[in-house]
Amino acid sequence: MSVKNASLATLREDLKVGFGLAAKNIISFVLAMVGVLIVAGLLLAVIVICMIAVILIAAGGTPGIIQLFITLSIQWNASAGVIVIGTALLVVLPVLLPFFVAGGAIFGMGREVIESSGTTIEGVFVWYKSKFVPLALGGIIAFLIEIGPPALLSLVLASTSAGVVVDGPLVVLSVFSAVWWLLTSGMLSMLFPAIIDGHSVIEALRVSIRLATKYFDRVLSTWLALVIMAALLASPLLLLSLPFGPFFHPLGAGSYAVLFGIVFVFLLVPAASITLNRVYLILSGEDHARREDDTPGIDIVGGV
Amino acid sequence: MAPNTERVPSMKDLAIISDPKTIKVLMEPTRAKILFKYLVNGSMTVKQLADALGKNPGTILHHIEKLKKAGLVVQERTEQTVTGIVQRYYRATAREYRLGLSELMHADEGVAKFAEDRLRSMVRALSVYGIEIPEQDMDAAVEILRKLLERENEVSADVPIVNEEEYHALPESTRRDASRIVRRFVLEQDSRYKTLRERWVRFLTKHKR
Repeated sequence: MSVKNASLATLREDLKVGFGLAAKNIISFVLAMVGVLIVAGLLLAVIVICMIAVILIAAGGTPGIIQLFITLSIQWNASAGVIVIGTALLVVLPVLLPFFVAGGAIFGMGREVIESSGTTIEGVFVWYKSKFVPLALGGIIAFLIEIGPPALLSLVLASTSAGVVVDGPLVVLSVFSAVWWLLTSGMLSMLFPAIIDGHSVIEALRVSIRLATKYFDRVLSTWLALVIMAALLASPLLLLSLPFGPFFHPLGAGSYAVLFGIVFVFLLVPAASITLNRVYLILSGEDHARREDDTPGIDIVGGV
Repeated sequence: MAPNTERVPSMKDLAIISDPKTIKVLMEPTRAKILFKYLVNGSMTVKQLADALGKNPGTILHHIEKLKKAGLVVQERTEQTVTGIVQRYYRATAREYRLGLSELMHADEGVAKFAEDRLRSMVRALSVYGIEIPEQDMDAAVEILRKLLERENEVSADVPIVNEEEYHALPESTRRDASRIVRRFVLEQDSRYKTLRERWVRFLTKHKR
């Protein structure tokens, strides 16, 4: 069995295998990504139509909706931000849901690749369909865990400073949000691989936290490396987009944004799905040695 | 870090499938093939199964998951290849599976009919050995055979192993041979089985051409 602890060599090997296999299967991943994003988009359209219909019926037509938004803004001013955030989540979560499942289905492809070095385009749709509910629930739970506390902190800080967070509180909020997100997303980075492995959402949550705690260095270093790669890839875009920065170039930013999108969606995300699946398989695998006598033998006894 | 030393459940010599849900899992031909043709004979990876069955690895993974959930397959070990691929080896939970007839015959219509049909076709198949059971005796034949098989399953399944360590150290073929001897032995000691067996032999003798 493989080494389970983290080291530079294992991290390099994990990433090398992940990116190598993602590049080898790039055609499958590109087509699968396009297909799965189309499906997610169509599903999103259906969800949005259903939500609008429900809100229209519940609020009693367009005037009712206008009144609803006025009420929400008054409640915000009255510092009842939790209700506003809660209402916003009711809108945001269904909208994100198809994309949680799409991301999870890519993890399914990643699992196929890391176990057999190949995958098929239709595989992604099979994962999308067969794991729809657990992936959607897993995505929602992870989203709430990763975003919830920073959102609540921002509400608390906003309520104590007339609705605007600046200076010291802003620094506290930014640092807390970044550290919280990095830590929780790292702890939950084994969630989708565990769901793909057949665990229920709650079991997968437990497995992810257990593996991330037991092999903290291996899981977190892998996750951190992937996040740093994404950040490095995005940094030129940030530099080119800053209006008062020395590198501000709108056209350059637009062109780089396209390049960033392509590399991120078609290479980085598949590589991350393969790498995290690989780490999951290694960490959740058994350490039993292969039996030496596992060779075919001839039976002597019939029905004695 | 200390290695995970939890032992994978040992492979049983014989397992009786009596849960209709498990039967339904096995009614899918690819799953039945994965279990009865390959995984009862040894551990295999998803890729090996995919190559052997001409299916894509994703399909095999979905089938393996269903077989695992039904308790028919376990994950045995995980190995890394030189190319960095991480392969999991799966194997059956038993070397031999038999249907638990009484539970199946009281299950829902589809499964009960499946069990009944299997018994009837078995009895009819005896004609190739010169044992012709006429249609009016078919119900009696099915009934005796059902009771006999049920008793055999009841007695010979899960024969206790008193020394697990030594059992694991035995070569595969020796284990199979020893298992057969012991299973036959416990059957011969069971008076109810012996009575049913004698009844069945008398019945067959009566219809032998």
